[in-house]
Amino acid sequence: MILLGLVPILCSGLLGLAAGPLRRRLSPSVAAPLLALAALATSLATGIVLCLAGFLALARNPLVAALGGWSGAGLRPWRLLPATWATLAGVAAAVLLVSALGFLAQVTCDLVRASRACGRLDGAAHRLRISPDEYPAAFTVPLRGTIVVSAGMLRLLPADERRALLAHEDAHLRRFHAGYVMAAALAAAANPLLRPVARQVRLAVELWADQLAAREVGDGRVVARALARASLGANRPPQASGVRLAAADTDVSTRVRALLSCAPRFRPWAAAAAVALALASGAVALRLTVDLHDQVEIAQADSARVLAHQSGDLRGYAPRPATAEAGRWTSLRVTAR
Amino acid sequence: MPPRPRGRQRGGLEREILACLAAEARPMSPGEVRAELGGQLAYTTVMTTLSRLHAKGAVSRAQAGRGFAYELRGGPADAQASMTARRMLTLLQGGGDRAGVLSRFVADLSPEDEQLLSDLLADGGPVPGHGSEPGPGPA
Repeated sequence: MILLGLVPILCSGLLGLAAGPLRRRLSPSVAAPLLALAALATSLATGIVLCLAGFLALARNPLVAALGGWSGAGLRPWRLLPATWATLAGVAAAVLLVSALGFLAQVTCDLVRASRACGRLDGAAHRLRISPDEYPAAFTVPLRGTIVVSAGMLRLLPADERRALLAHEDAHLRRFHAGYVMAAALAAAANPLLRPVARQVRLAVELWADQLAAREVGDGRVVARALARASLGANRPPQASGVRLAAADTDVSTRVRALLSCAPRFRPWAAAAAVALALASGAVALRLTVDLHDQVEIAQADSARVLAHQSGDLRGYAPRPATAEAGRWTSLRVTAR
Repeated sequence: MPPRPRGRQRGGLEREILACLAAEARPMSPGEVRAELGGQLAYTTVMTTLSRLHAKGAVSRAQAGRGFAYELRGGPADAQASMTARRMLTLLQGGGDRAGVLSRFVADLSPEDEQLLSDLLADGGPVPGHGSEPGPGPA
């Protein structure tokens, strides 16, 4: 039972390790949603299991046991879990929960800020806004559903590559790519083992948009050239650039190679592996939750039986003051049996 | 990959024309826009799209000869818009986009990447695949 609790953690670790290979073996339109959902599921399952262990650490405390109306000793099969481990798991659960909530707050704040800044840009048509900036930049603002391109970027590219760029950004918006990226990033915030997954989802989403842009323009090489020109232009900024992101953030050379080569064949086993990891951790989390719930009910019944025994009568006993509340509840349960 | 051209998405041509006007930053006649965009666009398609953009208030137009010349409304020198754009870009670059809510077209490059991309632009031909991507080999 205790070892079962390790399954979601193991699954997240495996998913983190396998994220890169899985992404390479799947088409980006499959990889992005699949990895994002698998990350969410394993992250949630890990959180649940850690919370259960933390709850257990609390539940053995005599005071809490008295309040809840169960006997701490009654949680028998769970006694095997050492108290220090349970406490550590509880602390980890709290830290990760705070991390996830912090991430959510940050995303909301950034989205609102970006959306507001975007709203102040001069109006343009059909989800496109052109910022009069010379620095070559192009991005989508998810909350607003807008593409922002700087005039510098547009001047940098010839007409066919401009079309590729716009098609790429439009694909992000139409396929709701920001949703997958945010979901995976949230999962990673709540479970650091899943960080590689979030990175792969981000890359998969870019590959996906590249693919759709290539399909619209009719030539992957045009998209690759646009990407090359834009990246080279953007990396020689006229002004000193601020903090640099990690090089692995969105791997430009990976994208260029993908555009110039054949699309990967669909490999069902790779998809099945991600699904299996998600399902395994989900099933374990559910199983353990149900099990602990049952154990608590049994322990409550135990405690009620003990109380009833002490008062000498199963029906009309006078409960002790300290456990008055608990006694009231459990007596109902006992008389019902 | 042999991709079949799927044609433009809804609003695609409007965006392209707008981008073209922004890149040129000067009044353009429908003929000039059509020449710049290339491809097999019909003159009337370009003209219709331009007048639709004008009706939406995205572009301004002035009489030029027998027809109209179109220009991006607001112009690239709009001071306040420029400041806003700056702020947005700072949000992106200065680590303000910590949560990564905006998906950018390009990322920072390693020296290797830079070489690869320069080669690509120089010959326009296929790039020698010296990585494992996207083959199923070990990462």
